Amino acid sequence: MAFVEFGLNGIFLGAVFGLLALAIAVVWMTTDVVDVATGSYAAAAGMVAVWAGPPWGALLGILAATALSGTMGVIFLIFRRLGATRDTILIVLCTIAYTFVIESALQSVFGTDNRFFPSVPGAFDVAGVFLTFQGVFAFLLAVVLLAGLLAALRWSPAGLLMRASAISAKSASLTGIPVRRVQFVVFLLGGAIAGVAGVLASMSIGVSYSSGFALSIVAFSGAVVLGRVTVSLAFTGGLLIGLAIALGQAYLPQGWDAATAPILIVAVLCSGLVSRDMFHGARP
Amino acid sequence: MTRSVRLSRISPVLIILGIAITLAIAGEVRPSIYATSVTIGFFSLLALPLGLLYGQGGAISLAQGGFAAVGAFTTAILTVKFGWSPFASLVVSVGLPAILAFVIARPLLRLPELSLALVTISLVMIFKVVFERAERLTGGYNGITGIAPLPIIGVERSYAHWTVWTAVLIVAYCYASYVESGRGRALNAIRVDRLLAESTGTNVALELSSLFSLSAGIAGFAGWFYAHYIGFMAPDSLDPTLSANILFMVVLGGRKSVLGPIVGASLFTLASDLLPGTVTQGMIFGSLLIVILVFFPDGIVSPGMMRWTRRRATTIPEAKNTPGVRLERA
Amino acid sequence: MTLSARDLSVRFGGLQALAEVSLEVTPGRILGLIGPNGAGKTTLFNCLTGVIQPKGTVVVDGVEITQLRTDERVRRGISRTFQTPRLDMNRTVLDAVMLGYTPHLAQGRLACFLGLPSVGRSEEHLRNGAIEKIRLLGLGGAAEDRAGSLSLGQLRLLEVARALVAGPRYLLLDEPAAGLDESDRIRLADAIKNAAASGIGIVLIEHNVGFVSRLSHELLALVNGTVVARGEPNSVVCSEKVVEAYLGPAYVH
Ligand SMILES: Nc1ncnc2c1ncn2[C@@H]1O[C@H](COP(=O)(O)OP(=O)(O)OP(=O)(O)O)[C@@H](O)[C@H]1O
Ligand SMILES: [Mg+2]
Repeated sequence: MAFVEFGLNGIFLGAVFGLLALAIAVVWMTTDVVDVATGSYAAAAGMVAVWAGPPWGALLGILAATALSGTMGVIFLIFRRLGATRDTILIVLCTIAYTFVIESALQSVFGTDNRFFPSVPGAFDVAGVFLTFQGVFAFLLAVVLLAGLLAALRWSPAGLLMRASAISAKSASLTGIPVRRVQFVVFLLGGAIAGVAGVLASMSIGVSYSSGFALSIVAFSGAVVLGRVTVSLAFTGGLLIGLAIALGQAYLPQGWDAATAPILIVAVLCSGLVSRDMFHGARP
Repeated sequence: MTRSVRLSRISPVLIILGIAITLAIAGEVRPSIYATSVTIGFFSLLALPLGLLYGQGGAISLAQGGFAAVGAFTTAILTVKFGWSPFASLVVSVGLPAILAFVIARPLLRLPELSLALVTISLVMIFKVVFERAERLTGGYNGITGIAPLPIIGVERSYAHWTVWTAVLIVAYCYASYVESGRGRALNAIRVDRLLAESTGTNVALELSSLFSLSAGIAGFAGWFYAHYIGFMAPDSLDPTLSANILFMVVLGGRKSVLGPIVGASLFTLASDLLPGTVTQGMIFGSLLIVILVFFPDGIVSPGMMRWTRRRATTIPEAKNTPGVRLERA
Repeated sequence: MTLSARDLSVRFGGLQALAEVSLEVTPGRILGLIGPNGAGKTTLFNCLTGVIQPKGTVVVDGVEITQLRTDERVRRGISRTFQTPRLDMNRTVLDAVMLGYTPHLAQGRLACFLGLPSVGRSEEHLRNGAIEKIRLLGLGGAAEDRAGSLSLGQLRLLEVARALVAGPRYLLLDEPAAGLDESDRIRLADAIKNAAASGIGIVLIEHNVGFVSRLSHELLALVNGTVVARGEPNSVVCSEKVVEAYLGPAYVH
């Protein structure tokens, strides 16, 4: 029973990571950039949400995250405008530097405490398994978002443009698709999704100014853990990471669960499970 | 021609010597400058071998700070808990990260750049968890205090300055010599095109693993020095942020030249000394980094200053028995 | 004393790029390799040099090397050029050619790090050797130029020079004459003949049938990954299947 309980709570926690992994994956697939600052957008969303308080704080937080990722999108566009063939790794370094910027800004505005947004109250138990409404809410919200995103990608004209740009930015631009604009929109989209994840995180595990980087690493491990990088696999991977971390917290000696995500990243990337094509942008 | 080769190898070393002497003179006038100069030297020691590995060989690493931490903890544990002399522990502080790096290098260095960056930063995070959790050895979050200063060197700040800068000079000299040699040419080929390097007889895996291991060893030495200089070592002392910063120093300073990493280390240290406030520093600093990465991606000491783009004065006469007329010559 | 490949087969997904191709080169001989675009000529070179792993065996001087890495094969004396030149366009021509010396560097890593005088001396020595080869191929005037400033044809000559300085026993040339003007072509032919005369076994891929049949001792024609003719150059060139592959069935009489 305890195992099932840890497991389910892990998957509910994983909903947050799943959304973040999704945010990283969409940006990665369309722009070749792994946005290391994604976790920081989430942290910012959570901090702003807590600061503004319920109910509108949540929306404000998501907007803040979107604005931050939009700024990264602008930086990306300038970078590409200045040299189309430049090494993508430099932009990834920019996102790391951007993480420093956001961390420092959050710290100077909100201080160093771990902060919480009021969670959905209450809990229930099914056959001896004790679950919170907050967990169920986070999970359902994440699944609805995922379904919405998948539907949009599948059927909306904007989704078609995104998919085309993701397959090959070059041929998409040759067919007249405004690839750069699409990429910018994808940055906004990633930021918004990360924002939702951040607000959800602030309702359960809490967020602090320095959560961002660790969140990004966890989310990235979710995005790659299933080998192929797609929207739904990234989300599923995030759920699995949540599960792994929860079980690690329960059964490993205290503190070792923090190594779960980085170990998975090393193992998955070194095993060559993830196609080299995903990284090809970084090696012209 | 021999002379020009020698000069191009010696001149960066002379410039670095000049920097070291200038800093020493300034340090004699205002002792606090020694603290800055030792920090610059420490960062340079971490950044220089990464410059060789990344700037010449094209293999990025975000693990330099992690390897330095391994070296620092090694000597802290051996000297404080087991009563070793610092010079005995030096061997392990250098050897352990070097061997560790060599062992893990093979699967890593096959990876594309972006993938390699993410894997190495994950490694550093794993190191950190290990340092935090192996409490019996490392003292957990609190770390290890009371690491004895190095004999002789630990007494005077100027000695510390000269120790670390001598190491920088040696590493810079070796870097420059290597790049000048035939093996440097092979290393450059690895960055440009791995298939080319293999097809001209370079064992790419061995070459990169050796350099990866070497840079880890040098980082271990820097960590050893750091632990004895500061006297205290905790998981947060040399954290993943440092690893990222070391890479930034290399990229900003100029990853393709010997001087680049040192220029990067200097700017970095000066910036963090001069910028106001510790909390808001990240904002100013991060923004500066972004601006430089976007607008000057080759860094400050850019490849325009590199040796081989300069045309040498000597020209080689065309072979005598040239049949026909040459029409094209760009 | 041969470089021989037996029954090499390669598939790329649904495409049979090579089907049981065998060949043999002995020192001093020139084997011409012809075939239309996509016939599998470059793929064959990739198998011989270990860039891709085929079914079948590759044996050099009695030692099987099928499992060896590319760089190990270079050390065993197999050098190649690339159809699309591969080099660092920002370095000088001389530097690019000297890269070919890599298997023969006398000094170890440590000596290079220490910058011992012996490293400088042997560099000087290698430089002179490289200049000689560069002149031989008519690039002497460009030795100090940026490699990026050369024309495509000249880059192919540069590749030949780089392969030659490695001192190979077997030399694989992938369309070295494409895009060369007449004088360069003559110079290249001389260089190839001299190399063969000095005991190097050469495999030469070339589309210009006249050029290659004049130069080669033996010709091998590849179509869709299969050998359709081999032997005496003139008989191969006139063989029905080769004519059909190059000119279409209408020309077969
Ligand atoms: N790495 C690869 N993956 C998939 N297909 C490949 C690969 N390399 C070559 N091919 C295919 O194998 C076939 C043979 O290619 P190859 O390059 O050997 O031809 P070639 O005879 O050298 O032609 P050309 O005269 O144009 O140089 C071609 O159809 C090519 O598209
Ligand atoms: Mg070909």
